[in-house]
Amino acid sequence: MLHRIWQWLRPRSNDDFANEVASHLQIETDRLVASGMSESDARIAARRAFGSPTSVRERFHDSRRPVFIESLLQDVRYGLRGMRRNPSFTAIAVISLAIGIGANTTMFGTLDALLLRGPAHVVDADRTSKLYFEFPRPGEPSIPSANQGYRTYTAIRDHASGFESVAAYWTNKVTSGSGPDARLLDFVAVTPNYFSMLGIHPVVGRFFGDEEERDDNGHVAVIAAELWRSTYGGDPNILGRTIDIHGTAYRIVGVTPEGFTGVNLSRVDIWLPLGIARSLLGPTVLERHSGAYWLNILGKRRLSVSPDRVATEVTAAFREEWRDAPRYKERFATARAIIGPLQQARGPTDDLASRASIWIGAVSLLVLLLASTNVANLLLLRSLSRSREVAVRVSLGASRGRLIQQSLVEGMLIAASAVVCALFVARWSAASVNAFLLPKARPTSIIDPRLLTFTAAVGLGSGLIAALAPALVTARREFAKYLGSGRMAGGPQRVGLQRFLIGLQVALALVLLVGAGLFVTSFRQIRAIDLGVDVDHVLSVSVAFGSIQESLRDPGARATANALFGEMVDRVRRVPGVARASTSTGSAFAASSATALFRPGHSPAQGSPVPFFRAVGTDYFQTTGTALVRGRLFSPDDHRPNSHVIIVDESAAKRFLPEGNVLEGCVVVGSDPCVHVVGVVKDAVMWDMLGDKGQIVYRPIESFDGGTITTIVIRAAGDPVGLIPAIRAAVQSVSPTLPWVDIHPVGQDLDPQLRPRRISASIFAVFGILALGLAAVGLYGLLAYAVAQRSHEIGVRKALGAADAGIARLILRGALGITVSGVVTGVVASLAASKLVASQLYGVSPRDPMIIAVSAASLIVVTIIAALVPVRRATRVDPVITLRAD
Amino acid sequence: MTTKSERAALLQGTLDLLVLRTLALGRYHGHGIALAIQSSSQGALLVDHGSLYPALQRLEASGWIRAEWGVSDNNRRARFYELTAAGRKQLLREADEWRRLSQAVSLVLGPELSGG
Repeated sequence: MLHRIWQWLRPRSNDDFANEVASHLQIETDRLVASGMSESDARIAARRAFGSPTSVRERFHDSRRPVFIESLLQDVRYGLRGMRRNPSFTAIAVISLAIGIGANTTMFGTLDALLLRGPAHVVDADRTSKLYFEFPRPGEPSIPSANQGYRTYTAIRDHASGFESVAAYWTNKVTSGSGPDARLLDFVAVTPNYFSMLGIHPVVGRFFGDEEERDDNGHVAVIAAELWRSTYGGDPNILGRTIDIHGTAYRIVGVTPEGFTGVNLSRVDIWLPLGIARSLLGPTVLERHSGAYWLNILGKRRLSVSPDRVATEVTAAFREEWRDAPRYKERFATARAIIGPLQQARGPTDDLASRASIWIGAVSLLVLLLASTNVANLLLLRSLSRSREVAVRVSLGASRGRLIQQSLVEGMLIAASAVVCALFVARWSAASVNAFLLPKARPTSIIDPRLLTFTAAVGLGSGLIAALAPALVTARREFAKYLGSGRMAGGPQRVGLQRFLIGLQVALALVLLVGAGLFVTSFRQIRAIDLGVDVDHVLSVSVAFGSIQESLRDPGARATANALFGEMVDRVRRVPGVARASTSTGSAFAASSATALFRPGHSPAQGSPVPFFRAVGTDYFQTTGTALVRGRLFSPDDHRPNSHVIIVDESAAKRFLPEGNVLEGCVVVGSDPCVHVVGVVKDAVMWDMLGDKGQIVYRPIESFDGGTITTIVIRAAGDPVGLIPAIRAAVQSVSPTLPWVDIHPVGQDLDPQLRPRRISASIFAVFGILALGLAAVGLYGLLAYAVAQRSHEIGVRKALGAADAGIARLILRGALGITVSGVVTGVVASLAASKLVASQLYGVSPRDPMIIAVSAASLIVVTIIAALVPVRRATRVDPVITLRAD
Repeated sequence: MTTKSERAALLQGTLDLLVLRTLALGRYHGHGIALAIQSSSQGALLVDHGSLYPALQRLEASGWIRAEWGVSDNNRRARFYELTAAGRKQLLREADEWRRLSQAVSLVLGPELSGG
């Protein structure tokens, strides 16, 4: 096939064929002469034997290729010549389409990975489901959750017969190695049947055996191909080598295939038996009485079983399992199982990244539509200015079909060039968009058959859209009257379609600008939320000591860990550039424990909510920048055993101590009957930036036992990120055997919540400006054309005494007429769409009049700018020259 | 020397097959192909020189043969043809078909008829 295309593209020349015929005749003559004929007789005989060389040449010509390809090639050459002749036109058309197509390629890549394509290497993904449970209660929105206990897993495995297999997994991070070599590995702990259920085979070695599900005594691990390559250099004798997991040597027994990351997109370094949870989470997590909700459950349906039937079975198994639970009636009686898709982004839980991607995908389609319209418009204008040329061709016998074909070929050429450019655009933009939306996923290549097919299809579609209008207009036009007329008759009144297209562009641009305004404002509102912590200057340091749970239970281990942290803080404080440092029992935006808090005599009902609890070291509030509202902060004297003082935040004070002055009298904290509230501080965000804040009780870490330090907070005098290496060195100098030390700006904890909003805002802003530019180009083209068409009319007007101002007004009025009708349409459209975006916005109304007004005004301003050059040209029309031209 | 009436005119498809078969033996220019067919059929098959070149062109366009200018035995410039991999496959296919066809035809004709 390739060969044939090559033949069409590089046809053999007629001359070459003629040479061959001549060579044949010569050789035949030679032969005849050699057999005794005279030279001249031989020449005649050779020619007679050959027949007529002319007719042979004709047969050669026809054999080369079908006629329609010939004409197609002609059109392609003609189109290419046209593109070369008018490079600025070509550049504008190609670039605007390339941006539109590139944006769509990028978003398709992301959406494909998130929603469409099944997880890599997994077989029968359509029969394999992830299980979610919801606990609907009247008057409350039901929030499905994928996290379950081991007990639920076994109940489903043993009783839901519609599943041919049920597997469970737990995703987390674990420290590996110590000292400067320490690092953090992303692991998935799995039940042994996890791999067989997903249809995965080891590249090397084996996966886990059944006896390894509950038990981790064998200390075996399966590593990902990526880790095998990067850390072990692809060592063929990898089996039997060991890897350090949390201070224990694990024997490597197998390697998973390249690119396999389980059912999620996030990177995985290592696979461990589920039993490892007993050393990482606590020895009882696999027991019936464990209250931990940590597992994700997968099920593979039997071929004949419907998802609905399995859902019913799973629901029944779940309720039966928990029938004897203490609060069965309130919590589990209405539980319902949801058989969700394997892709988490398509599941019933809210997924910010997929929501943002769908939005951006829709917007990029809009931009593509806009770009195609723009190119259609440019082509249309050009075809009008070519009317005479076309009329000549028609009179020379070109069929209308042929003209349409040529018009379509031109559109396709532009689209094809745009597709090539778009792939370059996408290579760059896909990387940055994916870094924003799927930061943990392995980067995907743009050279992907699905992606390339999609891009080609989008390019073809947009080329068709762009070429169709000019083609149809060409086909409908009466050409006879263009011939013989010096001017092109009937130009101005024929631009109705272009006016409509530009009006449409203006409307789309307005919608995008309003979107940009809304998303940027919303993002700024979220950024302006008072987090209660000075995120610009604060770093958070955590060290993955042994198992947190172990040290919680073991006072000796706890004391050692706390002493080490104390030593680290002392050393960190001496690092130049560190203003303050302190310790706490939890990271800044998340709480790890809770405690009761109430006035004596106001003890709350059993089971009602309690505040979060955090024990803090000296200078904690000064370090985080959490502001004092009333009373005082902890004094050095408070940081001693049995000081019986606390600080609460505003929400905790309001909600749990509403009676009288919080700073007066005793309050009950946990089992401590009389504690004094010495101060009230501002609320800090608790995980969800937009949700309830604070409700934290702070206590000096020295004042009671049971607090395990997990985190050091550091306030930098200047830029915190530059201090990280020095701080890491200071922390590690405490002990050469420290596990992985994690140091990051504390604001990073909130990044997953901000990221999709940041990208929505920036993409809308980019697209909005782009749309504005496209509309300006469209308007400019139309006006320039109109002025050229009407130069005769303008000349006459001037000769009759019209002032320049009057002529400028004439042109501008036409331009503004288009813009205003487009703006009105756009405003109506954005008001109609406001319901759709409302849920994506924070702190701004989707119908914000100011944003709509500014968007409309900027379109008007752009219209005037686009009109400047045509207006100048119109006022310079010399009436004498115009009139003489007739 | 055979008389003219005994020489078979070549059907177009047959010419293609014979050209491919000839080129399976080596590199030839157009004139050489015509001669080779003639001599290997012991003069029974006569190649019309005028039809040969369009046929060569067709085969070349189909990607079964490829051509290159070179110099002939007697020092004349000539276009030399050779078989491509696809051409080799095509030859097997066509030869097979031809054998089936000729077998079928001889079955229909039956044992030799006595002249009557």
